[in-house]
Amino acid sequence: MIIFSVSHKGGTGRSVTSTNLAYRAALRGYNTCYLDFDFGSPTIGTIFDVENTIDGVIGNGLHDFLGGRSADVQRVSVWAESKVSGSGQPPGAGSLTLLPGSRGGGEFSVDKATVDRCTELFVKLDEEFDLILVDLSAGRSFAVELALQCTARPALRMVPARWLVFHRWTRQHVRAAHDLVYGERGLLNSAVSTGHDDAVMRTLIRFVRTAYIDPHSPSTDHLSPTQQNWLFEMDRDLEALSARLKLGRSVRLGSVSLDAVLQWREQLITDRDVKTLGIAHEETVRAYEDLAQAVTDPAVWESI
Amino acid sequence: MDTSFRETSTLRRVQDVAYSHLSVELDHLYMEDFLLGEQHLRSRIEQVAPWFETAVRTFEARRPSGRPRVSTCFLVDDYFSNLIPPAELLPMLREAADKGGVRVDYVARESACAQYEGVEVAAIVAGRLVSVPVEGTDGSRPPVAESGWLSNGQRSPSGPAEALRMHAWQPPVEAEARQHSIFVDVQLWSEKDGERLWSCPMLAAVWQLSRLGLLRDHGRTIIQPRPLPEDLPAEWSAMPAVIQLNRSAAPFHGYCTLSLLDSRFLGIEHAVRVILDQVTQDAEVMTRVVQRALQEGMRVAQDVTGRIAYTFMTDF
Amino acid sequence: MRAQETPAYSPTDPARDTAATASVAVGEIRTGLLRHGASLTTDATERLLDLLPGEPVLQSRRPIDHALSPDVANGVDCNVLTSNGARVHTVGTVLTHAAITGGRVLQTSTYARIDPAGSRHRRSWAHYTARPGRLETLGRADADELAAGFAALTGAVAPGCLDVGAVCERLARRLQSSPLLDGCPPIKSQWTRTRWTALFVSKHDERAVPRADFVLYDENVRTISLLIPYALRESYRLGAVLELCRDLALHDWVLTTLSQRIKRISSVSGDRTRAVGELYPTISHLLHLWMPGARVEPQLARVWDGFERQPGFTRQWNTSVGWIRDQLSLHTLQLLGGLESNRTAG
Repeated sequence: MIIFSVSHKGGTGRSVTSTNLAYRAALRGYNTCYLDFDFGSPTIGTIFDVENTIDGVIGNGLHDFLGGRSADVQRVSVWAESKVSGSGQPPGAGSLTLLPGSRGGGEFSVDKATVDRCTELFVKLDEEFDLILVDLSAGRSFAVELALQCTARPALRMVPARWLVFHRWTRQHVRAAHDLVYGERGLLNSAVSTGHDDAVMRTLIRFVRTAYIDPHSPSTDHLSPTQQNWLFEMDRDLEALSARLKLGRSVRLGSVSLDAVLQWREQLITDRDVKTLGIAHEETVRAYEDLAQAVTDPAVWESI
Repeated sequence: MDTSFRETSTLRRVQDVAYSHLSVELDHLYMEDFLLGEQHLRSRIEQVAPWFETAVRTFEARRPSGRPRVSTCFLVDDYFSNLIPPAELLPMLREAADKGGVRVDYVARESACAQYEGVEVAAIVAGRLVSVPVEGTDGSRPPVAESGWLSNGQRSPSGPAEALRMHAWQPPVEAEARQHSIFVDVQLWSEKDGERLWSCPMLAAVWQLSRLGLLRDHGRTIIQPRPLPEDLPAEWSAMPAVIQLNRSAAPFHGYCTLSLLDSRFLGIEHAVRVILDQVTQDAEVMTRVVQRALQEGMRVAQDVTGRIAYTFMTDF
Repeated sequence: MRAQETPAYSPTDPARDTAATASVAVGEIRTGLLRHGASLTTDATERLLDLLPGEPVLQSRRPIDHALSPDVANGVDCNVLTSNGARVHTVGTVLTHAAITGGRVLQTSTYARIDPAGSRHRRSWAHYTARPGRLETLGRADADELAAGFAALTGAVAPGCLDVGAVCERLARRLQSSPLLDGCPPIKSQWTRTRWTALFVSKHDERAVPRADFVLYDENVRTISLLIPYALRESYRLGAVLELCRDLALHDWVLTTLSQRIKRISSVSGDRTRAVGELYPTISHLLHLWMPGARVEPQLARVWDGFERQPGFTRQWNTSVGWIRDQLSLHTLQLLGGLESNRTAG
């Protein structure tokens, strides 16, 4: 299964949520790999806390491979090389492999040769991994175009694809997310023009709310009754707006609440961060686990 | 108890062919040339005769150990045009040859070099092309290939990416250049409505390989001479690939070949050599031919292009 | 110009041109699971491996379905690293073929013989195309050092140095994307890369032959170093060496993949549905592939015998298969027990 992460622009928490989703999926026993297609700014090494890949890698990163400059792509085993895991692969966990971008990568054009190489890479990863998470750059980018062209290829026809659209819970962000998917130059229209079926493509897209403040959550207890009422009202309005813009509850995969840790530092949230250090909220971890569960649950994707 | 188990499907057999020492091609004519009449045809044959005699004499002189087997052949171009049926052309050719004092042992048709009896002959040769590598070719990247073209080196860089960088023109490079390049880019085929039309040099390269007895389809020889049919058909496609006109002729295939050609074919034959240099050979077939020739006291070059000789004639 | 370099009757030394003069051969084999849900049919296999028009796909049915594609050639002009770090310039062609075993396992293999007594200058390309699968060094090189240098290279290949692995990989990728395959392999698995060298040792050499060293590096990289008696060179054709290396690589892959499956099944053993779900494809798609030495020539069978004694491939295989079957029995028993207790409770 290939999961593509997209957002209308930076700062939506797309990368940090996707990485935590990958981490949780691996802990659940899925062999998982994570591809940094954020061609503008390779940053994944930072979140996974893998030394030497902080700004991408030199020579055989994803950009070098896709550009035809390298025959192989570097792979980094998070369990072996990240400081996050502590002592190697946790019992019962699947593999967690990172394919970093190239240092100083930058955008490039999508020609036939690039699509060929990218498709071959996806095929190869699909042979090995249960989950392939692809973090695409923000907005309408070459990366999105490349992903659409590859998944339209016959070689990938049997590999399930999923699209996760990340957005914050504000009017502006909801509208922008709508535009990214349903707009004139949006994901759906691009998909159709690259040979995908509109109706099928719609079933492959789900939305993820980030930096969400649940008005029911105990974390809002410190607010005044007026503030709480206002929050309820806002939430209701936004829910109505999202439903109207076709990103309401029925197509929402999950929500990740605002967590102070992630405001300060983009990182993987480990159980140790919650239980021993107490710096992250348990509900954040639960949200990631729910996402990892939902994304692999066929029932979730069967119905809208 | 000794046991042995074999499956025939796991064996690859290679068929042998009979060989002359030398196969001589007596000029090459386009179909249109035949339309110019018998007189024209005869003058062409008469032009070939002295060169042929000289060639055979020289060859015999170089081989004092007995009289070498020499066969002659003529290739009819029925691929690019089909103007004159075999029933008309063959008698015309035989008569002109008789009067011109040259014997034609075999007549072949060019379209059999493209496809014959269900075998895609030219495609077999095209599949064995391995483009000449420039220094630094280490296998890490796919060979640069322009579909339907074959060069003898490295082409000039092109494409939008290069254009953007505003580079000055960079010359193509002949892979085996000595100081300076003679760069050749040969078109192997063109395509129209999904049909592949093989180029003249490509078919001529197949023709050379078939004369050298090096072509195989699943180990079997493809182009073998057949006797002249009693009734000549109206269509060339109904003809065998090679017909034997002279019953007492030496074998069609030769350890080496000589082509006596008009100078107008110089360019085509250069292209033929560019192609043949890059056709990988069947190691088993090659080894057998070399050994058989050696048993007859003849040293044959391992390289295909080393077995091919030409005389380009001038109409004085 | 080239015509002058290679005169029509250029003398050739037939002894130099027979297969036996190769004093070192090198190659790499990549082994993985075919991207297909069922065992690939003989007919589809034939079409998939039809890499070269006019050349047969060789198929055999005993003791297990096996198909071998014809060889395709690639031209190279690059360096080969020797064990003392020197770069030796070589020119020629490498050959690549693919094999499918049991309609399940795909192997791509790229190889060449290196003639270390090369010429001073690069010759006409026709010289090399007349000798497919042969590399010639420019200047003399030492066969031992070439073999050791090649075997030592288990990581990334330096630019400008012979990369047979990349050639294999390209063919593997092309085949795996073929429309003849349904794209649904029954299990997730990894590819292995096996680099091998075969050194034809002269009779004056005091080393014991035939000899084989098999080294497991990380999860996916292996090397095989063979010493083949030079005196027996006629019977030790390269085809037999290739067959032996493919057979070793194949069984090592089956064993590696089975071990990974066992690890995975163990990690989910608490969840019976998931564990049984993992057991089934393992049993139906991997267990029938174990046929060590099936196509290995009798003279080289000793190599397999040696590996059976130490480390004992088949011993490990039998233990693993036993474990798998025990797991299945346990789950069946539990299932029956569950039914029984339900009945008692009801």
